[in-house]
Amino acid sequence: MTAVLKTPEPAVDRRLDASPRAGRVTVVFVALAVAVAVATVLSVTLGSVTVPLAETVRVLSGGSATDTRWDMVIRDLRLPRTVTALAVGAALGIAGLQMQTLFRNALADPFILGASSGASLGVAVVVVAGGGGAGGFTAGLAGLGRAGVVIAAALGAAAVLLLIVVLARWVKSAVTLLLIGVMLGSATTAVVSVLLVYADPQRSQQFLVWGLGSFTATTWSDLRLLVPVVLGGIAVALLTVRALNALLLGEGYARSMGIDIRIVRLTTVISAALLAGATTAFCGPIGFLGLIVPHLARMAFGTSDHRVLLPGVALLGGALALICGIVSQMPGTDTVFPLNAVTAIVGAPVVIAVLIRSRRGALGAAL
Amino acid sequence: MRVRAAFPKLLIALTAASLLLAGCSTAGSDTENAASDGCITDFDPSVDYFPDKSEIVDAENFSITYEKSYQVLTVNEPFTGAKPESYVLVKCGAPAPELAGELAEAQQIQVPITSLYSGSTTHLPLVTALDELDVLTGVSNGSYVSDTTVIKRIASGDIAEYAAGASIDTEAVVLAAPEVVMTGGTDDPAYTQLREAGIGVVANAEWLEASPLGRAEWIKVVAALTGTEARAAEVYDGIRDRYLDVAAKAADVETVPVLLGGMSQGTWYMSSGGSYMGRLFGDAGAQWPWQDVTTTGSLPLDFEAVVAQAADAPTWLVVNSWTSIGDALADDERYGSLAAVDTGRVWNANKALGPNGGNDFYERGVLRPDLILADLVAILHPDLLPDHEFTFYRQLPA
Amino acid sequence: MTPAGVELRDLTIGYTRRRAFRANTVTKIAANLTAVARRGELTALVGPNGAGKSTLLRTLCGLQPPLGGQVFVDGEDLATVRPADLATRISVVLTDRIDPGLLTVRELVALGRTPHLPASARVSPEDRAAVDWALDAVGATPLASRQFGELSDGQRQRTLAARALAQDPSLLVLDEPTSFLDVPSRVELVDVLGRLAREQNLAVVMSTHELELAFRVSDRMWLLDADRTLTCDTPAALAESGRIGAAFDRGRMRFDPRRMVFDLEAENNRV
Repeated sequence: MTAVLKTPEPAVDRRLDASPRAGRVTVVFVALAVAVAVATVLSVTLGSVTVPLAETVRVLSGGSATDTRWDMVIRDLRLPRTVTALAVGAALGIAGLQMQTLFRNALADPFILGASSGASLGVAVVVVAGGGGAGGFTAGLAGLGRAGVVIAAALGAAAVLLLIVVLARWVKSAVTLLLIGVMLGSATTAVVSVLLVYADPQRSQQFLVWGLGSFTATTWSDLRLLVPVVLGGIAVALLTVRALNALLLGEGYARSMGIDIRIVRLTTVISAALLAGATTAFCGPIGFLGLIVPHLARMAFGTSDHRVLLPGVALLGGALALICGIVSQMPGTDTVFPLNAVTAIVGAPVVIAVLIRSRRGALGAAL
Repeated sequence: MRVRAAFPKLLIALTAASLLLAGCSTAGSDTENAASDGCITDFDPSVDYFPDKSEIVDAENFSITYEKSYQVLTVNEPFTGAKPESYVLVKCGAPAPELAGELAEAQQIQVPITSLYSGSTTHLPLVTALDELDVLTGVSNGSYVSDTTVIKRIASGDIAEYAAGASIDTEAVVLAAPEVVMTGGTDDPAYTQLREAGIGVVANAEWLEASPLGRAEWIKVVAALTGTEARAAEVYDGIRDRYLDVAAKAADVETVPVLLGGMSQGTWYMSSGGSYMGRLFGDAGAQWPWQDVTTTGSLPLDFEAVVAQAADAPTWLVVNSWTSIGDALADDERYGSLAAVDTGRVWNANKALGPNGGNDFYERGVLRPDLILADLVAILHPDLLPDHEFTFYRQLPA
Repeated sequence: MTPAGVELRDLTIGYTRRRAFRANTVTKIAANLTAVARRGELTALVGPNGAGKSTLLRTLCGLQPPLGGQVFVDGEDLATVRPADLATRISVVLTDRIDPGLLTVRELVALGRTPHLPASARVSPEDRAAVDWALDAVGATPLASRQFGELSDGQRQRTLAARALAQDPSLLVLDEPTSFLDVPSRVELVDVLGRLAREQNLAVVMSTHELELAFRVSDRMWLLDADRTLTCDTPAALAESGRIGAAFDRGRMRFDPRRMVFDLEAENNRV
């Protein structure tokens, strides 16, 4: 029942307008791949300990270093944090891109639906319960040490996002959903403050440290869980590429093109839950990356097309996360700088620049 | 200031009250003052009413100077970054001294006091060691108290809880009107309100002392308030002698490498040499790579640095909730690469847990650095203290 | 026999407001509407403000469900068609303001292929061909690599029309497409639409306030009156019926059925 499609008039030389864009996209992808490679190498070779390059290569290719401590440093410290940074950077970048398009808001980030507040609530509950307070379940989680914190954070994030999913069925407008997410986030943050008041001061310290964010807390057994969940979230995100592109024209046009807005919302929320929830559970809440990476990607590629942006933010997010991780490790010194402080120092100027130079509306903001 | 204006009336009231209570007051310790409860009945300006004077040896954050009828207690840093604060402790029964300059604005408190609200569990041993527990009428939060007598008195209502929700219930305190509220060395707007209500607010900032003995010496602050200077001297001299004895033994032998602290969210927090715990470790003959850092806080370190420089240390000393080495490995499997985990020499200062789950290490330990030091020396140099019975530290089972 | 194109059969339009804890409120805008818009014709939907043109268009597109009656596109009842398939039959140009970020004209028009793309949004040669053709059909080929945000209003409307064309529909619906355009652009756009209807055998329905322009270029007109009736006829027949005058005459303005324009009567009623 389709209309008759007339044969295309061959008058147009499509190469004229396609090639500058395609060329730029390719160049940027190559540059990003190089950046990721370089950052990975730096992340594995730099640290507070100087390990000879030859030894690093030997360990990476499966052998053992002459000093067993170097083995441990490369295998159990540097490699896991490198993999973590790559996974988290990609996860937050993709989740941020989805949120910004779904809500048509330049300041949306992976946590705008309250995932990180929910995770904080989970961790705070465990922290307070550990002081001899309520509930066998939470005391049991507290007894599990770090595993308990991870589980509690994941459950907290999942609970808030599940609530959002349920509410999304009843709510027509995206803006309303966004506001509900923000309100839920505020409410859970308030509950967290109250819980901390009653916590043992030592454990409050523990919670504060969790809030600083870190790529170095994950071990290989943690990664066995984190990486598959992130890959799962990315796979779900890939399903939404077509819909996200259609949403660039707004919900009216998207619906007229057959996009089911409710399904898209549900899918993106699930994807964001997996991506943001997993990263927060293992690494604490990490700010700014999810917000700035999509903007930087749009600036770099010069396009809003999600077929380009989705892999683009994964690469860019991974590279940026690696760099922030390396800076936070302060190579050559013994001490570390909190990760969230680094992402804030990098991220805040970018956000301000984006907002100031925004000429063509929120998502046209790139320069 | 309003405090001074209120004080003359308060002074009369307290004088009358203390005279009335003279018969039923608990006996002050071994003070040798004129009246049995320490109050002056016939004031003579030429008499020195403080025959026992505290000498401050190790503490740096407070000082006491004596006049005939009053003492001046000065806390140099009542809370982090604050200016020094002075308190004029007037012997009860003596007239309020006319002071000039900065002291004119200082709080005047009648001593010996009969009611005290403590601001931290670290204050409790100071009071009990002086046998002045009856003076304690309130604690901030009873849930972490380890001392069983105090717990009983809280349960029976003899001791009130005034900051159960971590914020001070100002109204309740004003109603109960203790003579002194001792702060925990932090600032709180409630303290200003309490001062204006005429309640003495004395800063106990012992946690800002860097040296272990200096912290313990704050018992003399409680002594100044309760008139138990002689007993305080006895108690403190004993602690000091035992501490220096053990330290001297450890100083004679070679230092032993140790591993300190642990990981929190991927960062290793380790005591620096200049910190309170650092001094204890140093005095116990321990040696670790960050001993020469003189700052007083915990150092946030990269696990790499710890692995490279301290992983071989045969002994690991921690203070946390682990009950076995398995707990440690559950927290982070990378601890398995530490030598101390291999040999099983992991010691945790959580042997003395109170019935509420609080760790007495943080309560009684503050007054008894001699016991902590003895534990540490027994761990690091066992032959120096054979047959030592551990108070705070225990070796974690596998 | 069902004609090719769009048919409204006894349609009732309106909307339902869903309440959280109370019964839904149903508001009827107009009932029992019957009309036809044929393939190969440009149909103009006119009517005074507030009569319900937008609601009618939205119901026509399937963006809003009818309260009663049916809409048929090429003989198929819209209610029986899945939304995904509906998108291959009907495409729209709305009055929504869009902020398409950094999209170029070509990319925006390519979005029209969405209903035909797989989930990965991979573009096939047929899709590319459709985009090229759509651009050419509205005369927007020279604009293809320009950023949409930099275009003039007229150019934007043409781009959006191209997007709707690329969607390869049987029915093209436009809501007030000439609203923000200057006079030459209006004429140009409506001319393009008429040409497209004829050459591509599309049914094109557009709502407009440009009565005089509509009379000149449209092949059929739907008049949605303030009294909630829909009259469907050729422009000439509609003009003669006197209904235009009845619907739009106001003050000194009078519709002249022969010349199909509005005249302003002289002050003292003397010609």
